[in-house]
Amino acid sequence: MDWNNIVQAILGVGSQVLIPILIIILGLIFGMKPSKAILSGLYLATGFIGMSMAINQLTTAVSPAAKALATHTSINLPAVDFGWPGAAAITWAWPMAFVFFAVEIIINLGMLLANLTKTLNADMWNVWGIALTAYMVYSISGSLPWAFVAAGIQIIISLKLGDMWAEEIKTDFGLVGVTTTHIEAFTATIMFPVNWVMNYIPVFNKRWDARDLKKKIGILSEPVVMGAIIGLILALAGRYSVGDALNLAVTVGAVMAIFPPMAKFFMDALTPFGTTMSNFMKKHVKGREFVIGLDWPILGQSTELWVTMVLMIPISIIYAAILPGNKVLPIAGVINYCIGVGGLLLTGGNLLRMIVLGIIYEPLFLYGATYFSGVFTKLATSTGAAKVPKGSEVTWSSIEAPDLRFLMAQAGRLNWIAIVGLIVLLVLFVLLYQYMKKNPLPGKRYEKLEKKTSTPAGAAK
Amino acid sequence: MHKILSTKSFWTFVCFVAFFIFTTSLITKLWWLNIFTMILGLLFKYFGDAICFPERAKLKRVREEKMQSYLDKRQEMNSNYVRNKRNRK
Repeated sequence: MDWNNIVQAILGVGSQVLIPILIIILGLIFGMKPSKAILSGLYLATGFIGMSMAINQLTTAVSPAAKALATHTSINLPAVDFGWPGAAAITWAWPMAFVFFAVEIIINLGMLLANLTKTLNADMWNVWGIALTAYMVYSISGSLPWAFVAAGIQIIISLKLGDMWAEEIKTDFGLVGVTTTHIEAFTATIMFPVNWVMNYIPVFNKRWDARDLKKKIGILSEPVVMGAIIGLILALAGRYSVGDALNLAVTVGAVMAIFPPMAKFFMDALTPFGTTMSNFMKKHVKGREFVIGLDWPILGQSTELWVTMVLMIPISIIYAAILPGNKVLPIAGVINYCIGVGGLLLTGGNLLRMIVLGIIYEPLFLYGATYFSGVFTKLATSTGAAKVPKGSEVTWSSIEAPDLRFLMAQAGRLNWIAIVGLIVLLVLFVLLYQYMKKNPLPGKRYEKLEKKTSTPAGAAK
Repeated sequence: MHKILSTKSFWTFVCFVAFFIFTTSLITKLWWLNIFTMILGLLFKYFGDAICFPERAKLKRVREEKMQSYLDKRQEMNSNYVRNKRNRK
């Protein structure tokens, strides 16, 4: 029996099928009526399919414009950006990748039994991210045991991220009993110090959500309009014809418009599921709470998320052109989910903070992609899962957790600076975890900050 | 008509129609169809969301009011500060 083929066949159906099936099974276990469990699963599948289609369409529409822009401005970067679909494809082609399924399940169950987490990760499709980390670490350090340790560290971080965001997802997004365990939200860790400094700068402590922005700049703050304008600018910069430019503008605008209806399906699916699960836990396991870890699109209802990610498109292209030593032009990975999701959950949807943090941290992703281009190319060539153009390299411009992966890989080579860096990063994560646990609701967090930043007024009194 | 507009099933239907038009535009490459996706998406966002999820809308309103009252308080503190400073001069 070839386990690799069996696992690959199961995974071949994609997250939009895999996760709803898991939700139906879990719903039935928690005592949902079969009809409701199936309906929840189907709504979730619709939400995931719609969200994936919209996200893919956004990338498909914007990528050629980015390419055309690069061509006309004579930007010539040797590494081809194949985005997360390319990275996932080559990772699953690695013969050892499926082993990390077992590693994930064992660590998750162990931590649940030891009461070290309340997250049960159902986002099995994204196990490829763990396998990718293991491959990167193994490829650079040459140590397979350390690669497994690194994968284990990433799994623990994902589960703790799930614990950390659960309350915010419940109160700010209205999704009960679910969280996101996606490692891309780890970006919040490296953003945390700058975000903390922002606490002491008054301008960042005002309301900067989409609604407030609407009062200031009117219709321009509407993601549909903003998306259409960015699409139009990108197309014109890439010297598209007027017709094609308008098509791109309408497409990006429509993608922005389709997110709220898709988010409705998530709500329809997850609200009854979360309520049933919560009732089950109250009845059977007193004093314990469980949340189900899902993929990040459950946060797709946030306007701030999309506004940030769309605004970051031209910024990332400019960075790619001007950063010394950068080898990659963001094309398939031009939508940087790490900055969007990490920033959203860290700041609670403070748009100004999200954009400033995005501008500060975007180079990290481009340099991460440049550093790992050799590893991606080696894996793509050896597995044959992705075509590598002759004389060039492949990479992923919005690679998730580049800091963590880089430091773990270098630490495996006994690079002392990297070991210290890894320890510092993990300490920073612990600090962030404590900060989020202390003030889990962004609303409350800003209430506190309001008091702090208004100290002079208090003194005057 | 008003009764129909305030039912959850109507807005679920709107969401499905928006999804259908979006998918059709992707398959047929008739991008202008997306103008209808935009209209339906915006209609749902501004009118349908609160009908489908009244609890969430209530929660959001409470949170926003709370946040606003803190900002108002802060403004008041700031104006007190400026007034006191002037008086001291």
